[in-house]
Amino acid sequence: MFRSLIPSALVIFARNGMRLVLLDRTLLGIDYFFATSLPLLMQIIIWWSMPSSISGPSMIFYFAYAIALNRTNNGYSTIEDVSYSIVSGRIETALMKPVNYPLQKLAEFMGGSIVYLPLVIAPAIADFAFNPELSFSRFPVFLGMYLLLITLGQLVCFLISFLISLLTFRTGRTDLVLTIYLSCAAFFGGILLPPDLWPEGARVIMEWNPFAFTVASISQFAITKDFSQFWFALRGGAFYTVLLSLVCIPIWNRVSRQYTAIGG
Amino acid sequence: MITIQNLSKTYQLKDSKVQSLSDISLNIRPGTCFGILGTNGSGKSTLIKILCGLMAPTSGTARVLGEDPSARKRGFLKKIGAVFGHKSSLWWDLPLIESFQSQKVIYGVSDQDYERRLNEITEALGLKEVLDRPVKFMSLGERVKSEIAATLLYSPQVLFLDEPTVGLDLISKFQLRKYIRSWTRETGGIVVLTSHDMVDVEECCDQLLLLDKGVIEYQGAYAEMEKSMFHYRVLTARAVDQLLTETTRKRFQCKLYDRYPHATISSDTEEEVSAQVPSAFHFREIEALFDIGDGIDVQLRKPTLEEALRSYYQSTDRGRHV
Repeated sequence: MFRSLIPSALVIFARNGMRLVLLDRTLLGIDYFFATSLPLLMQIIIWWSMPSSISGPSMIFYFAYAIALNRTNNGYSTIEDVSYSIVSGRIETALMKPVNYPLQKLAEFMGGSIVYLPLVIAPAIADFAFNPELSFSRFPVFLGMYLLLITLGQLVCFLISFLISLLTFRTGRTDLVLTIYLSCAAFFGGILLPPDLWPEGARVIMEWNPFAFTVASISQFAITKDFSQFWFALRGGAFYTVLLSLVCIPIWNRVSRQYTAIGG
Repeated sequence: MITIQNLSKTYQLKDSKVQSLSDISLNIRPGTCFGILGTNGSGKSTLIKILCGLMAPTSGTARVLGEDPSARKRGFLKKIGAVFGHKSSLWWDLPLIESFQSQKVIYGVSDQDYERRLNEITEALGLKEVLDRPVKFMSLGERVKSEIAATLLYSPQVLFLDEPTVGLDLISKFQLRKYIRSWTRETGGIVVLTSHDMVDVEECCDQLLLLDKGVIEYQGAYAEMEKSMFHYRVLTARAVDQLLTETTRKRFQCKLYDRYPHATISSDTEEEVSAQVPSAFHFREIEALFDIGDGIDVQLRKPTLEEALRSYYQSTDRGRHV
């Protein structure tokens, strides 16, 4: 998989991925406002009315981070694109390029995600601005650690999404694989509830599943600013990046060679 | 050079197997435009996909430029190009020029070569005016030409074209065929072309492969195929100012069968009557078949490739011509 790494070509795919997101101004507007502001407002209303023993500013900020990260670390477009390419046969044209196909898609994904960086940095700025206990002198270090976790989260998100999209070779349906992804991401990602509010038995799954390292674990670090939480999120993100890559490579090699869009 | 030896391909479906190609062997030299013909399901696209490396054969070997295409090595992919009918490789929402510039970077084309080829190809295919247009706003014909242009920008040594003229208007088809012919001659590259438009094959191809249910029915030069399959002429009488009377049409048929019992009437309407006659048929014989007067236009011509193939596929007495 990594033999065909061509940096300049990947930059092109990343650049075009970013441009495609920027071109779709309607979707960008929806992502930036309706898909983030409305859920955030709902969360603020819900948690503001909860007893202070279980709510408070940290809970609101958890959801601010989680909602923003859910927009950035989101594999919907990747799954839709890859799955549709498989169903329509258009993947054949991509396979003809001298750049490994998963790397093409990774570059596009990460290029497109750059557009959502302001969205994930905004809650961090607000967090430091409204919290008198936090000094802005710590902000650069925090931001560096936060962005490192987001980058790992991006890799995990992409690998999960790409693997799910490969189910299309079996199912032949885009809507099915999208439903699988959305359900898993919403439930296991920690967007509905932070992991530590789950019952004891479920907490291990909610903290350790791969989706948690795209949203929940990063959000937990962001609100606690605790180095042990950063270390947990870093190790988990790195672990799943390696594990999912090792799973993805042979599966991709197998399905792409057995792929038969029979005939013309 | 493309070399195929005893190549077969079988698709494994859920409860059955489909033998798409059976024991195919051929060689294609540089500077050749090679046409692959056949009915739907004859194995044309399967053969092209194996040569592109998109699938591996079940048995036998294929070598393109000395390499195994199914290995899909980066260096190999940089030397070949493929256009698959309606399947677009361009960036749908971005201006066409962005796709071309992306190709330049991906394939490592120098600035000088890129500018020269861009100018030449867009001029030849009539794409200069649409360079700044997003691909999604282009017509089908413009998109197909753009696909081919994007592939030619990095000057591949082998070009696979699977139904390249589908959706093109007459002018665009003419431009494309002319460009393919000149590109093959000037670069010494190989073009492997499949098409249901026989004129593509007639105008572009030097060598032909005729497939039927995965088996080679004919392989060789187009000129030789003409000799072996075009063993008849088409005689057509068309009404000019008035319709052909039934008397005229019946007399024509009777006289034709008297002279040539094995002739075949291929069309019999009030506007036109048409027959396949032996190659030895001479124009002088027409006088004997018609009471020639005003209102009838008679033509004796070679069959088109489409007519010859249709007749060939419909006949039961088919031998292999290899």
